[in-house]
Amino acid sequence: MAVINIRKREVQIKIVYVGPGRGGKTTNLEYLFNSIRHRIQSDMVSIKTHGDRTLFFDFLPFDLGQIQGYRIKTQLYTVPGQVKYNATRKLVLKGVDGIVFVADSMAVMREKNIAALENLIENLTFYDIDIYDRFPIIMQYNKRDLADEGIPLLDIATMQGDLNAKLNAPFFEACAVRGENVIPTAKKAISATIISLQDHLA
Amino acid sequence: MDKTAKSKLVSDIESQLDDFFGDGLGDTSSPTPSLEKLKSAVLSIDWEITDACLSDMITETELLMSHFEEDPVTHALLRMLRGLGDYVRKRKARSHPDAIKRVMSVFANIETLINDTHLEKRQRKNIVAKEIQAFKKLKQQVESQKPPLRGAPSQAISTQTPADVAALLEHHKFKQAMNAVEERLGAEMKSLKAQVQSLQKQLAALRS
Repeated sequence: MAVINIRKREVQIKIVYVGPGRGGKTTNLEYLFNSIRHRIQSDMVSIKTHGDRTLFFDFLPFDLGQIQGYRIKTQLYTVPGQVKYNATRKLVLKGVDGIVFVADSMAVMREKNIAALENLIENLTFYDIDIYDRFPIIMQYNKRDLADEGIPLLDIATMQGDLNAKLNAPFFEACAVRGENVIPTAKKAISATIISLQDHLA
Repeated sequence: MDKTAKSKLVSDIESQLDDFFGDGLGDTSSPTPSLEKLKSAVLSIDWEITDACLSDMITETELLMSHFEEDPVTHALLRMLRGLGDYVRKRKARSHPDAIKRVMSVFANIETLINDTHLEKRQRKNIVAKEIQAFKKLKQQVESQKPPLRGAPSQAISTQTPADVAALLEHHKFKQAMNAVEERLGAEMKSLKAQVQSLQKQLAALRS
């Protein structure tokens, strides 16, 4: 849950990027960091394994500025996508206010996308969060550029049917390595999270 | 929360997000188009170091150098980036392992200098000073890696550190050689002593 400091007029929100391993969660954060690094004081923290995989998490904190008199401090996290790191995923999801689900568009990743979403739902249930009850979640269908290289991709209708039929969340087709739709995804996630927070407080 | 208040909140959030992230199109909002090409070349190197990537980086750097001729601070970093690119291209796999780190760091600072218009002159100079220091350090490390020149053995010896000398003294072949020398010297000394004793005996016999 967001940290709200009424006296300091500060709100701290936590958004976590989740999805299957090698789906592009860290690439999203790296692109965002490169785009805003000249505006922010903080650095991006990344803890990786030797194989350049996220072992614990990536963390990108930044101060968004003031909205309606409140300073909005945003914290973006990724979780390790590999199945074996569920304890870490669960830990990072503690206190989450919004989710970006980064799905891998490659056809071979279909089952892994579904499994990652099911795992997310299970982990959020642990924290009494019902993802279907107006919880802010944004879908990102990443790696759309791979079609140009002849790699079979899942079509958007299939991905929507697999992952977003019940959620009906806003979605973006993206190519995180090129930065396509990375910023719009983050903007949508931040705005949906703040609005959801306001709804809860009202 | 009523609809008017909500739409006002949405509008405020969107406006703040637009201010923070730019127009949402990311890189396309850059004021210097060729910086993006340079960025792309540098990121390619981060992924895979090839002659083509290095040539791209050097070409884009040179284009920017002509663009920033009036800005000595940025120009200095661009020159440094070109120098590093030339070095990696020539030395290839034999490049110092920190050379690519320096390329990334120099580029990140070039990006900061170009994009952050609020930086004070002193801050800009500090950025360059730090990079120059790191560059000099790398240069020294590269120099120390070079093999000694022919006909200059004394220089090679002088570059040995105390740790190198200690390691040499501990080496078993060195110890064997030392033992052999000691044995030979000992034998020669014994023989000389025997000769001296024999001469002393002859002298004593002559005196008597």
